[in-house]
Amino acid sequence: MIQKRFMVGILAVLVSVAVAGSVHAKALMMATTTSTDNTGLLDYLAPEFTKDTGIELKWTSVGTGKALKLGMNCDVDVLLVHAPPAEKRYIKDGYAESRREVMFNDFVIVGPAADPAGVQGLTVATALSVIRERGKVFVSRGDNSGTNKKERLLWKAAGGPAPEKEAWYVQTGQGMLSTLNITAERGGYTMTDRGTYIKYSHQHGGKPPLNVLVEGGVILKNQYSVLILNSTNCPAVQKDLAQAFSAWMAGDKAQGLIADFRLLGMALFTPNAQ
Amino acid sequence: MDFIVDGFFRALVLLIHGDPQTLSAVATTLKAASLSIGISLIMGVPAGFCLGYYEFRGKKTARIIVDTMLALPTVFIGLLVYAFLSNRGPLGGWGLLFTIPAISVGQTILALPVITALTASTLDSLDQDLRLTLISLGANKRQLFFTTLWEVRYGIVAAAMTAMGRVMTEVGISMMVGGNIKWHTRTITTAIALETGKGMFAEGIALGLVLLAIALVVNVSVSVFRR
Amino acid sequence: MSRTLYTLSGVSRCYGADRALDCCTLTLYGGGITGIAGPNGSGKSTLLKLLAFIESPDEGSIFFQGREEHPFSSAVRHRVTLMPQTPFLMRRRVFQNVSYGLALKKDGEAVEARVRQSLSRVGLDFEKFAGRWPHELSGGESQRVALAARLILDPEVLILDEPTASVDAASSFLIKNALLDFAAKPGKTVILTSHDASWLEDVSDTVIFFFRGRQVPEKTGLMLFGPFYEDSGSGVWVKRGEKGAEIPVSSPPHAESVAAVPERCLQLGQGDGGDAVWFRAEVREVARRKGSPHAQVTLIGAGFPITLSCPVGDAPDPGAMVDVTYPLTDLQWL
Repeated sequence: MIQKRFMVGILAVLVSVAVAGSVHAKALMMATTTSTDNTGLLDYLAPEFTKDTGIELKWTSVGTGKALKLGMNCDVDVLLVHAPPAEKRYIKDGYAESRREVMFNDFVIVGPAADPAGVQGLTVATALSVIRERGKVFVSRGDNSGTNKKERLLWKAAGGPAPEKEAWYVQTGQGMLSTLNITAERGGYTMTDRGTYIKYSHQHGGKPPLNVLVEGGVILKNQYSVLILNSTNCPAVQKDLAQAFSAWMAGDKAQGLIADFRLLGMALFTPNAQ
Repeated sequence: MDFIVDGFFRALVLLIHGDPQTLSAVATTLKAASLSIGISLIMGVPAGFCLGYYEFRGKKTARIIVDTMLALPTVFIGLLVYAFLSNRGPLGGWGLLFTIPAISVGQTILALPVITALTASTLDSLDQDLRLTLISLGANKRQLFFTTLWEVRYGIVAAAMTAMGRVMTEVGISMMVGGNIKWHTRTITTAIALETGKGMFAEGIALGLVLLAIALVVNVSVSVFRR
Repeated sequence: MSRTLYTLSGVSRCYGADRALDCCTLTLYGGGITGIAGPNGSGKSTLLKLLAFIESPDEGSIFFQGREEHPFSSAVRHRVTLMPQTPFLMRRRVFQNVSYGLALKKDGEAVEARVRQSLSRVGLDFEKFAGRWPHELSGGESQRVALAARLILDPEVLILDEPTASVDAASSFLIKNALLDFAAKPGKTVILTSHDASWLEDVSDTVIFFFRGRQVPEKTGLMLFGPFYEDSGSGVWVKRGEKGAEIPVSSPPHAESVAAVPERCLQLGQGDGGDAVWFRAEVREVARRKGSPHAQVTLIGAGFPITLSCPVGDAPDPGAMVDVTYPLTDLQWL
């Protein structure tokens, strides 16, 4: 009967989809920050990594806060994040067993060319207190990411608590590129890692509506590290694959690739593995 | 507003040239959606049948529960499924997190109430004389069930289409338990979220149009099947 | 001819608080056509569903050819078939609708020829109708397709609920002929209901009367539901109707009792017997049938419907105000 053929057809589709969906290969699962993904760095490195090691690299790009949480729950094998103080605490709490610094760039404060708060050329601490005093729009990631953690730290360094409910303080809860777009729309200031900013400039054909106004100083350094999870906490993670990735990232080839990753002639990250 | 026009042309280019990333996202979307719709049909049609066809104690309460489930927010389902499938969760051992079946589990929770509720209301509005006619023509209980199901086939197809629309357009679950992993669990909607996040609005619009094109193809083929 | 086909003993069927069949006991004989008459809501349709073993009684038992049977029982499934009041056709072509019962039996023998024959029995042309969808049929055609779907099964008992309630005159005629042909075959029984009492009497070999979920011995011409009032002055009990009009009754056993007067006890004019009572009524319809010396008169008295029969020569004109009389002792309390 027609009915039977219909039902059998539905079942056949289901079984084939289920089989297709459950094919497993040797793959390393990584949680990383939006900046490494949004800039295109991982799309550039991953095929090389696979070619050299035979390991497929899969990643989910989330804020550093969520990446650390995914590691805590053993849902990934390895982390590539950028919040050194939080990372050190993470190791002390027994969630990760080792941390390897692989590259860095720096944070900058960007704003409209008109610079309504007049912060160009100031130090970070002064610039932030001027923005706070004048109540000019400042857009924050507000997502507990590495960038957001750093920004809150800088507000404290500038004297006084990090802003929260102030009318001029906008928390987007989104990734860095999104936040840059929102900042441009609002004509405000924000803090970004340089890599993402260069990507953003590239998207606007080298003439972005936001300019770098504040830069320089050790305090603005943005260090990226590979974290290998603690196998006592997470016995099921693929530690060997994670170690292979960590070693490969610190190796000469990857370090050279990172140094060569450029947009508009500018390097987005500086390798610094030891 | 150039990116709207741009997006339209990008959509044509993506589709005509068969951009591999787009095709991968389309395939992932379709795999996850058909798996979840299939499971939802297997579970939801009999459940909806019982809910719409039979009279029993607690039927009203069951209907209220199902109708309430229609309002489940996708991010909440995503969170719930994540909590279960996380390696720290009760079903962590299955190793499903960040896979297409994981997305399907969440989407099944999304689609099941839709299919159950719509099947139930289709059967609710069914002519009482159908049952009478089938029994009087000599149907046994099994034949009664299957013929009734066949009589409401268009209603069930409509329910599946509605659920399909809901499942293919959701982003919360795919993002949360799929992880938006390129070549693996990146669906059209998570790709749109990603492109938008990167400020690539034209790409986002192109992908949205691709999703719309798929919906069109599915609906056209269904209307052909109905004829 | 008069072999016992059905025996119902103490059968009740309720829908919620509504008791459609109330401790009904009756016997139906096989062969020929049995008509079931009664007002709307008297439980006729429910009775038919039970006789067709579509539903089970809440209380009591139904015996078919001496054996107690139940829905889905293999003994009755392919031997008894019911056609409901509104024809229900499945969303398939006429051919599939008519042959559906054969498919259920996995009977694949000469299906097309049998469909052709069944359709021709109800006056439908195979070539023209077999490929049609239900929505391409008129009400009368649908009803006839539904009947063809029953005739093809060649059942022993064919049960029909109001087969001509909502069809045109031509369809009604074709349905009636199909039923008479079917019933004329040996070993076949037709049981049917109709709102049209004279049509029913015309086609049926036997008519049984149904009222308030039970068989009643004869046709009811007047029916009154409580409450009733006792006139404080005269001590006479009455049913009050529209515009203060009243119909006299005897003293009711309960406030909610129902009064029924057999049709044969109702007459026109003011009665002369000692216990005769009368009331005013308006003539609504007068029906005469070929070969019958009596006319069927429908009236409204105090807002209640009344039917009675009178010699053709005495029949009043529709619209006339007349007196209706009956002997108070013939009123039955139900």
